[in-house]
Amino acid sequence: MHEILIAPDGTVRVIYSDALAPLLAGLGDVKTARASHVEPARCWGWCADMSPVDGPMLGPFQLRDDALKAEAAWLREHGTPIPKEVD
Amino acid sequence: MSHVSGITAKMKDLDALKAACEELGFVFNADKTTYRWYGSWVDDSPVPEHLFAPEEAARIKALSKEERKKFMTAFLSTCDHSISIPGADYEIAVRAMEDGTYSLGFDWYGQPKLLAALGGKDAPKLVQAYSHRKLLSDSARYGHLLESEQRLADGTIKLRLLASRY
Repeated sequence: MHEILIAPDGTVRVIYSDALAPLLAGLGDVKTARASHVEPARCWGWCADMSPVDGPMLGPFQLRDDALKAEAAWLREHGTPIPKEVD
Repeated sequence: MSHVSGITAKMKDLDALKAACEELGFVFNADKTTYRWYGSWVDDSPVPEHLFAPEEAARIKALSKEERKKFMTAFLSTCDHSISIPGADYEIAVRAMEDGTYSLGFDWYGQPKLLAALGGKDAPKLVQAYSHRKLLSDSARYGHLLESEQRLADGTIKLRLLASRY
């Protein structure tokens, strides 16, 4: 399931997906940037570093897949913020 | 490893613009080449550069004040389509640009009803409604399923789509 947010100023935000790329390109200029870094934790498991969107470090999680799910959930819960790189 | 995309709408789809007008209670006047505005350019504000190619904007800015008033009055008096807003005195000019987009132009000075209906000088309410309608119509075209649609407390519209693989 994909969530697309259309802000009151008309700008659109979405977690990037190849499946939505043609839809988004048809709307206007698309700027895409990394919103997190999922990396092995120092001692154990995997962490999701949300600093590109001024977010926290999530984890550690036993599985990398769990870290990926957590970061996507965090982005959705926080309104899919635009990464600083795009601002 | 998610990436986030930010998209600024470019108005290229006249059907989506018409649907956006309907959503907001505006009236889209197809092929109406005049619209209500002050009626003359008094040259007390910057030339709206978004209405021109960069070279043309530079040429217009270099004209004498009287030449510019004459040129701008003639230019601004015509459009390709217009939009009427119930209760507002002035209307919105829709002009086809060389790059395939449509520009919106309107005289907002002393027009509180027009500004309120559009949400401000950049017409954010109309841009949001356009993005909304364009995404809905193109989603259907690409076979994406709209699972839900919600308007959040801050005015954001949230669409939940089940994307098709095409």
